[in-house]
Amino acid sequence: MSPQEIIFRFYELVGQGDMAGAEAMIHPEFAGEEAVSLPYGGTYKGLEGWHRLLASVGSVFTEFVPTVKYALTDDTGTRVIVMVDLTGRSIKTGERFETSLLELWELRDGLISLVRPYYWDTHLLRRVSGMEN
Amino acid sequence: MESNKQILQKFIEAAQRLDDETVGALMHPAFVVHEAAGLPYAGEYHGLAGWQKLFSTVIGIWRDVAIKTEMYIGADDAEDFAVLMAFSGKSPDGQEGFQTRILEHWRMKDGKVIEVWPHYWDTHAMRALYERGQKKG
Repeated sequence: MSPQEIIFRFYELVGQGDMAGAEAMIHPEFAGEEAVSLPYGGTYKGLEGWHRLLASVGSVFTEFVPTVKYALTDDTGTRVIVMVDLTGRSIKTGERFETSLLELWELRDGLISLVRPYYWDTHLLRRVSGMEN
Repeated sequence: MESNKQILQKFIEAAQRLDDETVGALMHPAFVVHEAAGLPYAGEYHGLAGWQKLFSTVIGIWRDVAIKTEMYIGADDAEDFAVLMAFSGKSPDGQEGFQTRILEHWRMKDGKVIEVWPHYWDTHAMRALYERGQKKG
């Protein structure tokens, strides 16, 4: 699989609820980095971190639907930028949101070793989730 | 003939050395930069005048601004590119420094630069820094 296909396959497996299949694509030294201002800000390491990241996002937002528009791969074949449209609803406030993000993914040994999502507006997500007035 | 990637690189390099003549020549007539609502300079900036207004607003808000291009991603003749920027500076009152990254989505059309969507790592952090600097400044 090409780097883009690896990321698309990962998205597909998560979307289908095949978490075992998705986890098989995660490198043991995986890191998921989220901006500190987000309700689930921080760094999530390893497979356990991946589980915590999913749980943290799921504790804040529901109906969380990322739609991949397309992806770009760098010359080394180890970095993929994925352009994503995102919709969801805050569990706390009930408010819905539509936004976008650019995700930087890194691969090591054909496995996912890093995801760093650049949300269009972390301030918007704080407001929607009830962290801002 | 230059590829879209070369044109984009030339545009960004010209912008960083404040070469408005080259920037204007490489800019599509429908050029627009979008800035997220959470930022102190939220909105849409159209054409060369908009680009100049945005630039002067950004360097008017932040002190000691430095922008360095770290990575271009996209095939030579793609219409969409991702550009990773390191962005550093100080708060409006000069009391707090910041170092962050912006992952930008650039779009090309007809061999010109037409649209930019800068995705800041943390717009809220930038907004909070701005507001703290305003209160103290």
